[in-house]
Amino acid sequence: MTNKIAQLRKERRISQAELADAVDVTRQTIISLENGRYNASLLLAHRIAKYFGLTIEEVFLFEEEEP
Amino acid sequence: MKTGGWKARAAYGTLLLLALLKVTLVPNLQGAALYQPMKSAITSLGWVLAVYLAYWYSRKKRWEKATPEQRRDMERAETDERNQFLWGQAAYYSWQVMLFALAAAGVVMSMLDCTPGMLAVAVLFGVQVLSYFGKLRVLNRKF
Repeated sequence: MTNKIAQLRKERRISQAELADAVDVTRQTIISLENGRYNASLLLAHRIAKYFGLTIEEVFLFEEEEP
Repeated sequence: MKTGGWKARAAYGTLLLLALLKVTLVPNLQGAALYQPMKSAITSLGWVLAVYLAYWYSRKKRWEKATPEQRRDMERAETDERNQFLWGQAAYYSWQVMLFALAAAGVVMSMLDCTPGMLAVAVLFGVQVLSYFGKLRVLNRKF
């Protein structure tokens, strides 16, 4: 699963620390999310989407694997 | 962040009590069958408590030196979902490693014909397995 967190953050000039504070996770979690190394839980995904004023599908892109 | 003040106080109190026992009660047992086991038990428990107090003290100092922002990060780190995921994965891995280590220790104890050692390994193995399945049962009901 990929996401647009880094892109949205830069567009709105928000730092990783500010986003981490807003959604109550550590900065390391935001870094891992942006690098695609960690997938957010539904609750965290919802919080992040709500923070950006978007839907979860607009922030997180679920790519189906090729069969 | 919870610094576990009451645990540290309890550990410190117990350590003082053990020190007192070591200088008052234990010397009076010299020659008795209980002397060596009691002395070893008090010393071992004392070391465990001393290590725990050193760890608690280092956490307390780190907290006291931290800025408000660092303190917020330290508190948040405890409930952060990625951290909890990583700790869970690491704990499960180390549990599996410990099971194998205990099994190996059991084999060594058996080869050395050391009955107390075999019993200790069996108890630890049982505690590991029972606590795992007990917790799993509780979690299955909850979720």
